[in-house]
Amino acid sequence: MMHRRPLLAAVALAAPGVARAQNRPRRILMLLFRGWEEACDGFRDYFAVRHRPVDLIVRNAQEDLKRVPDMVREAQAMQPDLVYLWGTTLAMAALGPWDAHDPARHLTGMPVVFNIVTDPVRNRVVRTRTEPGRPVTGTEYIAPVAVQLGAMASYRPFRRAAALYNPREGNSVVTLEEMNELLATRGAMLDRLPVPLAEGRPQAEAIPGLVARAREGGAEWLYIPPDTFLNEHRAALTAAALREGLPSFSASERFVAFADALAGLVSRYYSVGAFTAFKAEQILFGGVAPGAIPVETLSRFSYLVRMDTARRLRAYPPVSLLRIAEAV
Amino acid sequence: MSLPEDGTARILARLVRNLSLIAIAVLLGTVVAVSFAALGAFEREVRPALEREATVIGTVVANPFERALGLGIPFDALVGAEEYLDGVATSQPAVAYLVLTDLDGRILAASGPAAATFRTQREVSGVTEATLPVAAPGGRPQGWLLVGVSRAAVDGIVEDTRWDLLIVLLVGVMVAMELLRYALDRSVIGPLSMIDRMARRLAAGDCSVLADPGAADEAGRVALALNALLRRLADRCAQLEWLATEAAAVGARAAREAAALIAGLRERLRLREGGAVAEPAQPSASAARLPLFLFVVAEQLSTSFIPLFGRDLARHGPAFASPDLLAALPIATFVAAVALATPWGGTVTARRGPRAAVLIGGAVAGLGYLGAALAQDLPQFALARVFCGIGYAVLTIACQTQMAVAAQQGRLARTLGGFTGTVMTGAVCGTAIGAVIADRLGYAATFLASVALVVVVMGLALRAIPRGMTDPKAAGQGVVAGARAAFGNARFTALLLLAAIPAKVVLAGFIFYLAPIALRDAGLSQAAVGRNVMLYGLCMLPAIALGGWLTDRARIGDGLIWGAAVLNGAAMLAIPLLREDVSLPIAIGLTGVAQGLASAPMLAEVAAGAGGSTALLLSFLRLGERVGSVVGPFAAAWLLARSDVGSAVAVLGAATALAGLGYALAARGRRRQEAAA
Repeated sequence: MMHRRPLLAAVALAAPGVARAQNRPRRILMLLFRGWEEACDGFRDYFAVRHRPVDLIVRNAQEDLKRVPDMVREAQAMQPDLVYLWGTTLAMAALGPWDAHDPARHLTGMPVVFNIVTDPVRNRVVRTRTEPGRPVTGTEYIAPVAVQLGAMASYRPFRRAAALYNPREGNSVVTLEEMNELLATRGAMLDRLPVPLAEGRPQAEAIPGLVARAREGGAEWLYIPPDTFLNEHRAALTAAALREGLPSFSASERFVAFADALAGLVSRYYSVGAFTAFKAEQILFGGVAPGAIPVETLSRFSYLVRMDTARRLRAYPPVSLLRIAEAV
Repeated sequence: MSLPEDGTARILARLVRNLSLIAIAVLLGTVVAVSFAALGAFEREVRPALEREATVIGTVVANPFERALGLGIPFDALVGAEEYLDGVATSQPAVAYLVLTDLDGRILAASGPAAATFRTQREVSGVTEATLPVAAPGGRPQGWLLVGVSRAAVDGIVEDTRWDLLIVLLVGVMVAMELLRYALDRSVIGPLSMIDRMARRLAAGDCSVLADPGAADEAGRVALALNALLRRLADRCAQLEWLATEAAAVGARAAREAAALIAGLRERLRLREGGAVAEPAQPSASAARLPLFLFVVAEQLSTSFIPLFGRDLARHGPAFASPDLLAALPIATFVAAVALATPWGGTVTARRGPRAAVLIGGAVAGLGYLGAALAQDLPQFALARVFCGIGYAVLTIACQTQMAVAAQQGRLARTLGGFTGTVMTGAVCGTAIGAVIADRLGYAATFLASVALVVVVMGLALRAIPRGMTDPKAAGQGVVAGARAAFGNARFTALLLLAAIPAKVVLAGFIFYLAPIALRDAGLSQAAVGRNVMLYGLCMLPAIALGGWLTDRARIGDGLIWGAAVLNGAAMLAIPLLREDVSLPIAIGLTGVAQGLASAPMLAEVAAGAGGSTALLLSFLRLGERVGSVVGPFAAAWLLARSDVGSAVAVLGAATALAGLGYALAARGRRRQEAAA
């Protein structure tokens, strides 16, 4: 689905001259991994509300990494004012490691912002959060893993959790590694259950069986990492957890908002998109070098609780949590 | 007050006593009635306010329960209710208990410091309760939330208000008494004494002195009439003498008889050649008392904020030391100026008389307050405080000397005791009012108020303190010579070293340093510590009057001085016998009583018994006391660093008692010598 989405964002500024330079629409090439969603809405709406003229040119990889080299070549030929990258997997493929950048395969010579990316330092997209080390900046959308753990425990304390993941997605692997280390320090444990691959692709049919295994292993929570494959199969995953009577906790919004996960500590995709647009605005209209803009996460997260699931599991949130939680 | 002796004195004394009692009764009655009304109104306002607070807390606390019910969570399946209530109860100190029950009153969750009592008794004293229904939004109640709010915080405020009212009451009575004393002296006792003296002179046939008509009141008219009578009498005598001269010309016998007649007349009436002269101005102790009182008020207006003002100025200046440390500079310069200028003040008073000294001291202090009001940085402020200190030293010693000079035979100790009482009263009143002025109008305005008060003081001195009264003994004597004379006087030196300085060491070391630390360690609040320290002043004031009276009447000044020191020491040594929160206030109160009892006899001893210039000796006594005040905290801190609070107090107490016994021995030796001589 290749298309062009022009944006009628700008209302002409009153003064000519300088204003005219300000008024020139900036071209942003948006490279998406699984199509247009709420984070892209937030990104687009930010410029509209701020009356910043931008032309958004959208390309979608349709979750196929093989399409990425073509997208990179097109970007190099087009030389847009800014490239927007959606998702950890796509960002890693299009940018390469910061310390092993290959100009033949990776985006070169243009500013880049990334959005909906998990742990860009461990994934070597940037050197550090405060000094990216390349003309790249962006936003994270996952709450720190320790905070997620605290959020799960404040709903119901636990000694054992389980997590399914796609072994091909680095962001999931990295997140679960960190969670495992943290749980070990607290005397708890995490059962990591990789979804089996066939021809290099994870098998969705295996999901219900893996959830049952998690339950039999004595897990008290099913933790759902930020994983594109699981997101695609979120309905099957959360329904299986519900059948097994296993409360599920997610790091991203869609598992709770558009499936049956019990709870999640999430950044709203829309807000993260707008925050990414704020950084893009600094580059495009403020003249700030991308490498001088830190990679940040939103300072506030939403605690989502799916009340239908809570009722069916008879796992109601504690009263004190209801002061801050959003019921969906 | 210069009261005549015998019957008239008794009548005047009764008049003053009755007027004072009536004034105190009316003042006390009014203030007590207003205070009760105010506290009653406070109570009436507080109860509904507490109930409102409980309801507001309840509404906020119930919110998540109601949200839970609204989200379809069954009432009996609420999770974490007790943990939630625990969190609220710890963050709200006013909450005594929070209890969630079902509709039948069965407790589902309870928290708060009084929750355990509530579980057993369902009724907790000292708590105001609000009951709120717990329901889903728009639904039927499914349970109750009971919120108990403790009255302890409010009771604390009521308690503080009571103390504030008591202090206002005391200050009001003290100010009223000072003004009443002055007014009575000026408008009643002074004129009546003048008529009384005139009547006595006339009764004795003394026609050489005219009465001072003063104001145009009844006494003034009587004085005018008596003066006219004197002049007529003088005219008649002169006429009689002329007639006698005429008669003498008739013959020798007539001359003899006329001479005998004139001689008899001269024997009965003492007439002055060239006519009677006006009576010289009479020194009055109370003439110095009101200026002294107002001056101490002026000085103490700024007491409560001088460290804060100093710190503010230090923050704006160059940072060569911490502002907290620099804030002590103006205090140090003031204390040093007072100490160093006191002997000079004594010399000025002795050479120029109290009136001139009060005017000089007032002018210097006034400049100091003006400078403090205009000060832009810390050095300017510290310099201004030097001027304040010099003025304070000169003016207070002048007033003290005036009181000593004016004190009547047999009332010396009582009059001088009045000096200490006046300084303490002025300090209490000034500090209390100054804090209010500073709060409302700012620091500079408070210093300007001090300037205005000093102007009033100087005006009063011009009107009320007679000119002259220089001390011939001090004529031509400088500070050094004065010091040599004072410290060469064994009686004075014994008093200074064995009684006066130890008393100040105890005051500064025990009352102002160790007692607050010990009280704080015993778990008292800052306000309660302050009230306990105030006990010292409250017990001291009546003891000063008693000590003065005993010294004048029973002539046991020496005994009072050493007895008080021994009592003081015993009270401090006895602290470990009882619980500290009981024994410390007792020791503080007894220290006040002891130092009050000894205060008047010490001053009287210096003024009358020790010989030498009164002004100079008083100034060296005051200097010695300052030294004691400085040594006290350091001695206490040194002792504290080597032991605990109790031992430090005990050592100070033992030292005081021993010094007192030493003074007793010295006094006994002196009396033996005097008897032998």
